[in-house]
Amino acid sequence: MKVQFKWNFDYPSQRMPILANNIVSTSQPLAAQAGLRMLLKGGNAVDAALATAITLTVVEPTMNGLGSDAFAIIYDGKKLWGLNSSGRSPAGWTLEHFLKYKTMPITGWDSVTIPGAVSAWGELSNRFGNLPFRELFEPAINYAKYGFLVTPITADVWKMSKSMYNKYPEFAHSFLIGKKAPKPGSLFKNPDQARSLEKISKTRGKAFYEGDLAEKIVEYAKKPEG
Amino acid sequence: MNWENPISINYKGVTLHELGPNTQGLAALLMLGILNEWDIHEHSVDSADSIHLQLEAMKLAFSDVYRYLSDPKSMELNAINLLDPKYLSERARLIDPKIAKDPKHGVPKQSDTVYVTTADKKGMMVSYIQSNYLMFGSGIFIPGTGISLQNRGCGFTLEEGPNQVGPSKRPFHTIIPAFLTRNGTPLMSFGVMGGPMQPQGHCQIVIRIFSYKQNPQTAVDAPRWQVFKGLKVGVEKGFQSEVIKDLENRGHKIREMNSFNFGGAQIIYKLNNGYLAASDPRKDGHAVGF
Repeated sequence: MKVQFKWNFDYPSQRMPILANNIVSTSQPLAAQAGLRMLLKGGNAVDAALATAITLTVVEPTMNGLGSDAFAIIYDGKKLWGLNSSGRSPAGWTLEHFLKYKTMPITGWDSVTIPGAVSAWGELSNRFGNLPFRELFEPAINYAKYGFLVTPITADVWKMSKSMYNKYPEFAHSFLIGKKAPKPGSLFKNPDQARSLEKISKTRGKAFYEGDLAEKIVEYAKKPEG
Repeated sequence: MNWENPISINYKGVTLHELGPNTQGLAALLMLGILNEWDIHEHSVDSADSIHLQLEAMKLAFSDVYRYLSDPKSMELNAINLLDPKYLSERARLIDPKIAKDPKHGVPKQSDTVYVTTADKKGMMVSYIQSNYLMFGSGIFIPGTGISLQNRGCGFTLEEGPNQVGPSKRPFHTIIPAFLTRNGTPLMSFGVMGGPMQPQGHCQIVIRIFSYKQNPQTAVDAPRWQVFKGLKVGVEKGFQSEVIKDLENRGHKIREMNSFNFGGAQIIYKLNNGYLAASDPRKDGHAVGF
């Protein structure tokens, strides 16, 4: 049944802070809860941040994904640690390679640097995490496999993004429902992403850089239409 | 991927830590370093005098960042050199308290990001940020995998300079987690999503909490400004119309813009017991805890 109301938020509304001993704060509620679940079962702040970040690739795909970069600053109880997990450009990115462009391209393979987020997850979990790596993926895999309800602001961005990615057929396959961006409150599933998340969780991220996901990326890059 | 020590600046009794180049974290440090030379708290919060100083300091910070910042292996100077107090006070003296200037700065492209901050009862705190850059990224979706690949490569430029595109090189990067300490102990983990808004958002949050004593949620709720190229400034709804007029009289070219353009902030602030967390009403999310 269609909802009978508009998804407008016309009035300023007061928001109160949260006061507690264990906290997760992020841009999507299901992702915040995913982190909280890790804290509830004995995970630490790093386990919580990772479960939240991994879930965000599913529930806020308009802002990030499995092919993202990531950065972090962690206070471990003793000192601050900085993590730069931004990728480098491919070895073939000489200036000559870009002579055909007037400015750096915004889309296509010539805009892709090696994604660092998945490697950040493994590294952060190795150094600081309490929980088994695979457990950090449970909420994300469930939302990808069985679906989640799309939030209003994410739905707005999704709709805006459609015109930009329409020319890429795989976009419709992975991220649209019958050629349309999902509306607020609609159920969105991404079973392909669920399988990728499972592979990443079982290999501590290796599947993405060396395993069969890496092979699929390389194979697709070789195709002329890719 | 590599571990590194964050770079930092002291401001009003706290220390702001940011990641160094290739990230634009330096922009926030330079801005606050320049403002250290001005007693901004003597002007009331959200007044034209206060906002003017912030805009001018931000543009000066961006002009250096756009001139020098890239993958550190290509930079002609070390980021730390720009944070030299003598240099910062020279930069601060370039500000005219009544006239908007154009220090020929650049600003990054709009981008889309997620930010997470967490803290636990043992005192561990995390400031974490992740992004495909523009929305779903490059448009490259790997069939059968749900993988969307980022388009961070467009952080490079084709023009000659330290950030010119090259092989096995990291591009100028917009996404930055932030962290504050006081006397070496942790105080606040925070971030502000949204490309060019990020360092500008960090500074506005820090100024509101530490120069104007606003609580973190109020600092998040408050209207934001952002500088664009030249004298262009975007403002969010919520500033008084007399303040906007006053800023226009100083030469700022002001445009009111939809809240969507002003990013999203999340904050965890450490209290004597436990934490206080704030989240941004501009986003779908919230803070949760127990």
